[in-house]
Amino acid sequence: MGVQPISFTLVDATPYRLIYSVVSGTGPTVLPNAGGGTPDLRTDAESATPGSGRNPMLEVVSTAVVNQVEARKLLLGEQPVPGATTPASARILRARARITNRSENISGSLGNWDVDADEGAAAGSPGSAGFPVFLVDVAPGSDGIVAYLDIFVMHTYDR
Amino acid sequence: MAITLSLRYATPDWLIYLAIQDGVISSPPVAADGLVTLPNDGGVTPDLQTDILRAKTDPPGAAGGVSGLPLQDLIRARLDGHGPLGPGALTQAEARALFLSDNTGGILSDQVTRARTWITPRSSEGSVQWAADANVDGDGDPVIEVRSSVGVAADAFLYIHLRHTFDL
Repeated sequence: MGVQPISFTLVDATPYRLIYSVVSGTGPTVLPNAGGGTPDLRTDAESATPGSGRNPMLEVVSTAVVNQVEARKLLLGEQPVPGATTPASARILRARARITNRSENISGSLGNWDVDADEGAAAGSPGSAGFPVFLVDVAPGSDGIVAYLDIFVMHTYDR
Repeated sequence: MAITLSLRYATPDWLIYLAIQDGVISSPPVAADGLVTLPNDGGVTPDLQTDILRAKTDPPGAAGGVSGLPLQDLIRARLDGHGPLGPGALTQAEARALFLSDNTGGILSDQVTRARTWITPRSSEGSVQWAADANVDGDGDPVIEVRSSVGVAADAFLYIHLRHTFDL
């Protein structure tokens, strides 16, 4: 029996929001940002406005980062640390994310999820090097649970 | 029933409930130990059709009728139709598209308003997991199902939020 990673399926995309259906497995698993096939933050953000540059979510995920601190500020809405060197000043767009269980697995278990962010290469996604990615993990022994990962650009009306 | 829901706040775009898991496991255990359905029948609160009417503020608490409350449009999708849906009984996939913004299968076009539903723990320090799903009742009305792990008392907030609004 193989080990299945956590899987992501895009279920809704707007210029301000990405929503994924997530099925639990063995994590942590990266939601990449490499411009490859879906699921991919850059590809999926762009899908909301094909051919158009007016896309705040695409702007957020296309912002370069050099480390996890910067990735967390862009994707998890962390406020800048006073005096720290960071691309995320108070006026730079950033996102936040939350994950919510939808249904239990056949054993009746619900997921105990973690959502974090990191720089792509450091997270194990070489194609995402230099860009922020999400890292999603779930407590062991909870395969087959469905949840929604809800990513939204802060300070917007599309909520 | 081990999970109870009580309305905590209602606006034209938000319904917020407190969900309380009493931690009691039936003997023998039953599904209701960790599952409660927020109905949509127009009955006593907690009920989607009833509770959204609490959002009407002119005058406060008066019945809102069937217009002027945006979230009410989704709640009454079977009765009045919503976008490409109905009137008529909905499917679970349609209820999920409306209330969870899960547009798998492209049920809704980009212009159709929809909601997001989520649940966040308030107490229990992480030992109880919660889930929120959308389904339909016997009439085909959309309902919200709340699940939790059992055996430990805990509470959480259930949020139902109409998207694309200023009511943040």
